[in-house]
Amino acid sequence: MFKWKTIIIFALAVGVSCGAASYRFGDSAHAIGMLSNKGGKARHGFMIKSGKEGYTLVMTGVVLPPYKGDVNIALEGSPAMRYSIYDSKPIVDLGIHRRPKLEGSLLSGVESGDKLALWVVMTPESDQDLEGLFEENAAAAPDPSTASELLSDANHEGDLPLKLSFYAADSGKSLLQIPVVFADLQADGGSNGAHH
Amino acid sequence: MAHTTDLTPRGIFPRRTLYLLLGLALFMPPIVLLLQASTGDESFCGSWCPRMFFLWREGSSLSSFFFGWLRSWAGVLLVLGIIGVTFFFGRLWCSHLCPIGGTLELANRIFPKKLSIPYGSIPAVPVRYGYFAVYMIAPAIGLGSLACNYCNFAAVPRVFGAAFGSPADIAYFLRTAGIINLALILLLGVMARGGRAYCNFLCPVGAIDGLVARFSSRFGKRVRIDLHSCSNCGKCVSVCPTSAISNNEDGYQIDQLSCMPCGKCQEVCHDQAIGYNKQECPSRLRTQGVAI
Repeated sequence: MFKWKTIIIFALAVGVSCGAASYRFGDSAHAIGMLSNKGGKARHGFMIKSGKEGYTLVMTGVVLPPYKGDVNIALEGSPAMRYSIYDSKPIVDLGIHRRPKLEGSLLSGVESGDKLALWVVMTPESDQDLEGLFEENAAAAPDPSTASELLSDANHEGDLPLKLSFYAADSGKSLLQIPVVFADLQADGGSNGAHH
Repeated sequence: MAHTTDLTPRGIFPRRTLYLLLGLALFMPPIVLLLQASTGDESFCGSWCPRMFFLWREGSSLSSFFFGWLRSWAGVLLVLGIIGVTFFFGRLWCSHLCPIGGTLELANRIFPKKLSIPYGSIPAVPVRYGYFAVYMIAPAIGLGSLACNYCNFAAVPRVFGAAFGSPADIAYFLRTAGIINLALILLLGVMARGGRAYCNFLCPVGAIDGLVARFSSRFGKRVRIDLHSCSNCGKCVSVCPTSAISNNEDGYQIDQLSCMPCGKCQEVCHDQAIGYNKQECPSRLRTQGVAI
């Protein structure tokens, strides 16, 4: 009897876990990228679903040699988004390790081998109802230098799809571009390994 | 009575709270001392991730698999260290140092006992290893992943970070996954009786640790019950935060798959029948693993 109970509970746990593993929330995504002078490389894009009130993109990556300098970060393309960029850093920085500093959308003091962890919180620009949420989020940031309200330049890019781009601040050279993919709007939209 | 002198005296873990607080200082915001001092990381997401390097993903090559080990090298060392300690001393990491379980347990201590949710009636082992099986297999077959969407090592530190006003940590909770993780650590941690239901049901590191504790039980020190001294009062059962103690026809037994040597059972045992020792005499000191 005990064994049957154990087996049933095990099977239930497997079933629920399979459902949890396969379901994607669609309002957040993680992508890994490598910044380099040669245009960088994204392991995969951000996979999200359309129609959400807001989105969170988590970008982790590393800076490949020999790049050194400041980096401009921009969310470009359509649909237009309002967004804020936050970097992940210790609350009490002991100063043991040097780390790049994010001011608005400019990441300064980047060196080869640096590891980046950035959070991009974005809301569709056309959705007026969401401005409160966005402003609330921006207001939650105690240090204005680490976050700013930005608007993706959809006109500049025409109808090009949305992407998170990294440019060398001095030359404007592209260091990395990570596509933001609305999986439900893609004909072949499906899993591509994004795990957030 | 001679056998009772073999048992370690009661209260073998009197400073456990201090160890838990040490774990918080080493691994948790605002200081994250060990992470900052070593790799410069500010959270477990990165070099210190202990939950993902052992996952095989669909389409992975052997080189990309081991590249994951390199990327999370501190997490690899952490897990190997945990396994080594568990082999010889039981799940001391889980009970004494884990900042994730420790946070939930410490928070539970100030949560009203009357409102705590008892999960003791749910058999933890089949739930834990059902979840763990999917945790391991789902990414390998391309079904999806439980690794980041349901991660206690990501969520709990970010509660601290958000409390200190870190924008990135606040951003973590502005999404569905963050809200679900917050609900899980509240319902299965802070509000759970003993504060360890998350550890007991859903922690993959704990699942690995439990297997090591169970299958190396004969080689190392574990919390064990001396059936000759036990008066079957059952007090130990009610205080065990992981529901690791059960009663069957042979008497009370400790399931080493679930036992974290917190010493709570030892503290309430007036018969001094519970000790923390090596398995010197299997006929007297019983320990049991539950097969699934």
